[in-house]
Amino acid sequence: MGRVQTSARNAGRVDAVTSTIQTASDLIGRPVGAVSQGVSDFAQGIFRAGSLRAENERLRAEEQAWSLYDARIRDMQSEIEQLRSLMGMPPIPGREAVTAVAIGYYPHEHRMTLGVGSDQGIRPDQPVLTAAGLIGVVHSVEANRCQVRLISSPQFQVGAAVMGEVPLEGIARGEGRDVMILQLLDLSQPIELDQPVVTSGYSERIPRGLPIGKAVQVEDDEQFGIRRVRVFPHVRLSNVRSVVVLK
Amino acid sequence: MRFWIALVVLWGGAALQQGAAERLAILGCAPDFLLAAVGPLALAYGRSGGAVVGFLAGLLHGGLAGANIAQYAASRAIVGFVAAWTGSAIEKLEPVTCLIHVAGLTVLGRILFMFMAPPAQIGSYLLATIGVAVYNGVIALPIYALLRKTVRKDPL
Repeated sequence: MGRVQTSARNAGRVDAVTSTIQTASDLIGRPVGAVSQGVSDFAQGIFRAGSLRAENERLRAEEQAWSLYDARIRDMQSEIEQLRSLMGMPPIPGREAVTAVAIGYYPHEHRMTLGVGSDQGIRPDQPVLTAAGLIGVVHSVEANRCQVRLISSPQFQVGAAVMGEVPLEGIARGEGRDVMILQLLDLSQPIELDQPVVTSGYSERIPRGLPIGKAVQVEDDEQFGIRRVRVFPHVRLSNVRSVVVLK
Repeated sequence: MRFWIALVVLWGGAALQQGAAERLAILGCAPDFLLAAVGPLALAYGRSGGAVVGFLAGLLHGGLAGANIAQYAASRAIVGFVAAWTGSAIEKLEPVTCLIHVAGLTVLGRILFMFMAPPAQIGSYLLATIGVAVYNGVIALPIYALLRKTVRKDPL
């Protein structure tokens, strides 16, 4: 019998005796196993109710900790991506870029708090941007933090231009969370949808050519000679973690 | 008839060994249903019958374990023979006698097996043997009761 087993094992298979015994035993062994597992679980549930409850609570706490940890990881990955994008930004002549982290975002006040301030050379009206484009200007400054008025704010105004064949310049202002209105006085030039809108540079602080967004709708008011262009910003403000302030 | 009873008991023991033994372990000692069945069966079947029952039990246990069947079969065959031999000296089968009988046979079977296939940690194996012996003694009681009502009415 030993020889039969050994030769079968050497051939990489199970011998006939063992195989027959296991098959025959499986007929009852499996149902018995399932029943005994159920009985065992039931008995454990009764006798170890206290420890099972404690274990359950511990596992729930661990799960919560893991989900927080997971959220933190995703947050940091997003921040890393943004920092990589910022590092890839081309330099702006005559301006120094100060990297900052957003430490607060108040969408209803159209305000963001950055972790840099006057100690880092930050001054009011300096533009704040991400790799995707302008997000606002510095509004007030403390020693180590500052408040940014976001482009979504109705009080935010900036010289902007639609970059078609002939740049059309006007004043853009915030109109809520996801849109800006650019007012133009030139109604003669055609504007195509999705044309980029950038800063016009008619400002001491904000240089020309910083991306703002794209034109999504054009309305002409011929009675008053005004063209209103709805601009969809490039940056989703709620996702911003790392920014650059141009000194 | 007796042959079929032995086969059913051993088959049931094998099924329990496969499906329930590990789950019924107490303090790391799992019952050995097949070894527990050998004692009562051997009492009913005599020395040579006991050796055959032991051999079959070993065959089943070795097959289930996927281990060397010869070591299981040889050790259990000896246990079956000894079970019938010592059992013939028992005048009246009381529960305590049955328990001690099977517990002793379990110890014998596991020690024989230990010599044929030495385990990695002999100390813990011997400690576990005590627990398994007590466990088997308790398990054997209903088997004794069953066989007294079936096999003994149908004399060997």
